[in-house]
Amino acid sequence: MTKILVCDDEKEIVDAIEIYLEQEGYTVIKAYDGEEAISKLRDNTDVQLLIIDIMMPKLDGIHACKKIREYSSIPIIFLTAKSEDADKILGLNIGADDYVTKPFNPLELVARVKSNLRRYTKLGSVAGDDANVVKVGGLIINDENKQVTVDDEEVKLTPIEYNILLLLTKNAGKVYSIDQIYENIWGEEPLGADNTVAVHVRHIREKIEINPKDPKYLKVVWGVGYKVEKQ
Amino acid sequence: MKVKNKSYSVLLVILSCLVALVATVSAVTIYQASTVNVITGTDSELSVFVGDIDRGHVSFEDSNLFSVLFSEDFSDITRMCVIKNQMETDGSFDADKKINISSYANRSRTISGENVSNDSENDSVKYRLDDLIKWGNYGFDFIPVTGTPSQLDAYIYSLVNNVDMPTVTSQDSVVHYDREEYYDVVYQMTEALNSTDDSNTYTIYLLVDRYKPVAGGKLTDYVANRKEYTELVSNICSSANDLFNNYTEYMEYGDKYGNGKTNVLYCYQLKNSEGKLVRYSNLSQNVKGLSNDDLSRIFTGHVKYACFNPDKLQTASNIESLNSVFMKNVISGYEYSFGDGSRVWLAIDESYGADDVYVRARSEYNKTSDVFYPACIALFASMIVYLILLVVMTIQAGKVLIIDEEGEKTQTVRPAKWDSIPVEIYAIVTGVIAVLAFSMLIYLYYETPGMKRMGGTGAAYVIWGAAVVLANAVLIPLYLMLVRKIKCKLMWKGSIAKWCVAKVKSGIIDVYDNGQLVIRTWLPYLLFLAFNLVLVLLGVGGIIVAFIIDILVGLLLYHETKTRNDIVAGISRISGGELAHKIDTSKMHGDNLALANAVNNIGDGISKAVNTSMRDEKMKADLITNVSHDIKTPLTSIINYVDLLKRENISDEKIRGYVDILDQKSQRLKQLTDDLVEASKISSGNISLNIEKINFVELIHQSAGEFSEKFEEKGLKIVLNLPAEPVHIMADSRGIYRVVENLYNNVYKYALEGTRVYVDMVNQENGPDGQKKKGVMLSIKNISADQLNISAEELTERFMRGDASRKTEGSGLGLSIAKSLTEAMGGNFSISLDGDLFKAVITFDAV
Repeated sequence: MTKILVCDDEKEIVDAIEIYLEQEGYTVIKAYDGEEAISKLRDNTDVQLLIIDIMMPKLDGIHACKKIREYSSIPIIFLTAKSEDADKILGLNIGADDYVTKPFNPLELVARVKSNLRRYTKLGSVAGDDANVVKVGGLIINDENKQVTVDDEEVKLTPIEYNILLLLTKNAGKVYSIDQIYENIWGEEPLGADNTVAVHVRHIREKIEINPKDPKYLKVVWGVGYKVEKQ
Repeated sequence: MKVKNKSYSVLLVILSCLVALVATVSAVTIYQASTVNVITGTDSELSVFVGDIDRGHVSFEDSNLFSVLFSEDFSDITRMCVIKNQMETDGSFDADKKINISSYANRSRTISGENVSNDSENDSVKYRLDDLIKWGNYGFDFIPVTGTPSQLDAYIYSLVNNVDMPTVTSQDSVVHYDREEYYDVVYQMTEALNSTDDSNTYTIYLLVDRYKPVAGGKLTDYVANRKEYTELVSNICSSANDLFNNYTEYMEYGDKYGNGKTNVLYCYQLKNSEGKLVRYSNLSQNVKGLSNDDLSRIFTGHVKYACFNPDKLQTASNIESLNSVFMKNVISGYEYSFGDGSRVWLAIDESYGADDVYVRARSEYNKTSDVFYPACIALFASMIVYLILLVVMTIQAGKVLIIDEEGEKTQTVRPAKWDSIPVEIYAIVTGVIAVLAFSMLIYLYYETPGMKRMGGTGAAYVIWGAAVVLANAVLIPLYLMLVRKIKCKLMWKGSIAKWCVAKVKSGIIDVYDNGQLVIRTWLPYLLFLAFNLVLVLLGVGGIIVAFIIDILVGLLLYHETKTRNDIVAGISRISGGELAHKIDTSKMHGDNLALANAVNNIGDGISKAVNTSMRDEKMKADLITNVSHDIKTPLTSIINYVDLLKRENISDEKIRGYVDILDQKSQRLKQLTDDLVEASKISSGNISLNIEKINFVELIHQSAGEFSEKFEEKGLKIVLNLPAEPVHIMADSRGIYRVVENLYNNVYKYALEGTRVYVDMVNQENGPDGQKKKGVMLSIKNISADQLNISAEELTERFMRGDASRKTEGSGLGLSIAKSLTEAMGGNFSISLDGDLFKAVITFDAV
């Protein structure tokens, strides 16, 4: 049984999360402030993931996260009402693995929990230095059998989608414009205005991302093109 | 607080007066000790400076003073002897002496004294000496005869030849002419001689018969014609006059050089009218029997002597100034008396038996050396002391010691009460006093007898001392006042000139600041013109002055323009956003000052308003952010538990409907809070934008891709009409997407289902701000599902939506956020409504 520690000063939220996670087969340990979270974590060394609120009494999530990171590398997901970019960046920088803003979609939260757990428990066990394997974070493309997995979960893509994702992943960090993608995939000059590529990219995002509007892998650089973030 | 005067001015002024008194006394003493005032000759007052060379080194007889005195006496004695020679016979005055008129009158014209004797005794007219002196004093009686020259000739002829009297124009009765007047008679007769023009008449004057010569007969018996008669009258007149004058002098010389009245010994050997050599002397022994050599021996036996032989120009003299040239010059006036064989012997009687000028001069000469040097030292020393006092007074002037309650001492310089008198009044008073003092000293020097003569020494000391002390006592305090004024910098401060300048300046500024526009502009201009005109008419000086004034006016105009420039620069800085900028108004006047103040006030106003509104917006944004955070937590629970409810298998259709409504509304609340935070952040400028180069065409393609399925869902067909080439703009990547996203969302929400959406992008000549810069315009057009009963402006206002009924989802903030974001990125956002056609237009500068 995988143990997950959920910490929020709002009891009802913790309870709701518990319901969702238990439905997925996880055991939930509950805490209601930062200090409690740390002590519970110390008591239950087999906890594999931590969901923690930022604004809490006694010890806030940021400081608790810092302290936990001193001795533990378990995945930490911030759960907060603070939705500004600066808050997200701060949270990720001090060692959090993910960031979910309130009010959250329960399905998204569960998906993120799963994704993070998979990565934490099985990362590195798959397909090492194979030349045909392209890997960016939890996204792995095996070109030999045309298989795409995100955090060990297989994703079904159409051939064009697969080719676009492969192009962007192979050249992770480089931004491709619609025209460049078109040329690379279709092998011909783009003729006139068309949003085909854009639609494909959105479809890929919807398949590989937990929240397509806040993509982790395939990012839109508005007005420039698309890219897969180097990780 | 105690103020102690440290200038000691009263004491110092008294001291300076005393020192000045000492200096004055010394100066008077030096003057008197170095100058000998004597009466020399007959009447002239002589002041002789006794030079330093003589004093104390040579005896009185060797001094220049003696030499001067002796020269004077030589001239006087020479003249005296010559007059004696005219009047005396055998050593005493001879009233009966017969004077040959024509030879006497012409005595100076002849080389030798013998010429007069050339006339035969019979022909010469002679008068008695006392008669001539008497007539010379009293005057002559004449009978005027008037006629033409030939008539007058004939008249004289008849008188000379004792023939019948011819007719003459007129013959008046006897007329008397006083002394000096009878020269006019001679002049008229001489004039008549020179004319032969018979058309004019002249007057001649005949001496009445009373003036008979010693030899008897009438005067006409001695002449042949009118010319000779005229000469005779002329000679008689001049002889009488000269002899009278000489007689007067003769009497005076008797007083001065009479026996026992002078220490000068003399002996003159002269030729008298008869051509005999006669000796005149004041030697005690009889000189008649002595030979020339004997006399020379007697005279050269004295300490100082001078012997002169006019014949050979031989001089034997031990007095430097009495050399042969000087003696010859003196004697040359009396050549007629110094004929062949004449001699002059002079000497000083060193026993000084007579109380004369030599005795007085000798005693004063000997006195001078005693006091001169001490007086000189005293004068020098007192002047040095005076100078030191002056310096001390200058340094100390105005110094005061201030002792406050704690006994702390501060030394400072303070003006006295009367120092506030304007410097001009001070200058006038001082000038008047100085002039008065100077005039007084001059007056004292020339007008007070005691000042010049040795006799009145006491008076000189008193008068000069009083004058100098008085002048010192008045002028030194005035000088100290000037020093205090300079020290306290009151020269200009309290002056009338400063007052005048200030008045004129304030008057000009007053007119300039408060005057009417017409007065302010035309009055100075006309004054300037008139000034130039008048000055140019005054000539070169005026042109120079006009030039200087023109330069000043030019500088003034420059200053005005510069000030105006400063104001313009200030305005542009304020309008450029530097609201706190202040124009420096310290040197401005008039219009410019008002303008600058107004600009500063506008800047203040704007700055205040901006600050207030910024603060308000910030507060509002913070408030909204905080509130939305607080809302989000309970909202999370609502959404989660609604979701949990939905997961329960609710069989009751009604309850499931309620849960759906709860789900919808909670989702909308979530959207609303997010939008609210974002809108408030954007409008308060609380967002950071990363402006970079964006391909607008690419962005529209990307956006279309994002929305393709959403639009399909509503049967909306998107029609893209974009340039084939990339179009670049400067914008924040996510911000510009947010704008387009909001517009598409708007379309998605409000467009009539099954219609087309037109998205056009056009390159424009003009950018968003209408300047001549290339721009790009994006327009999104759709048909509204509902009737638009609201203005375009209201659509972009917060919480405003096209339909006031708000029956569909959405916060109504979408357009507001799009507009704010577009403008924050430098673009232009506008919405227009035409019936059911909704059109949104975004313009950016093309890069």
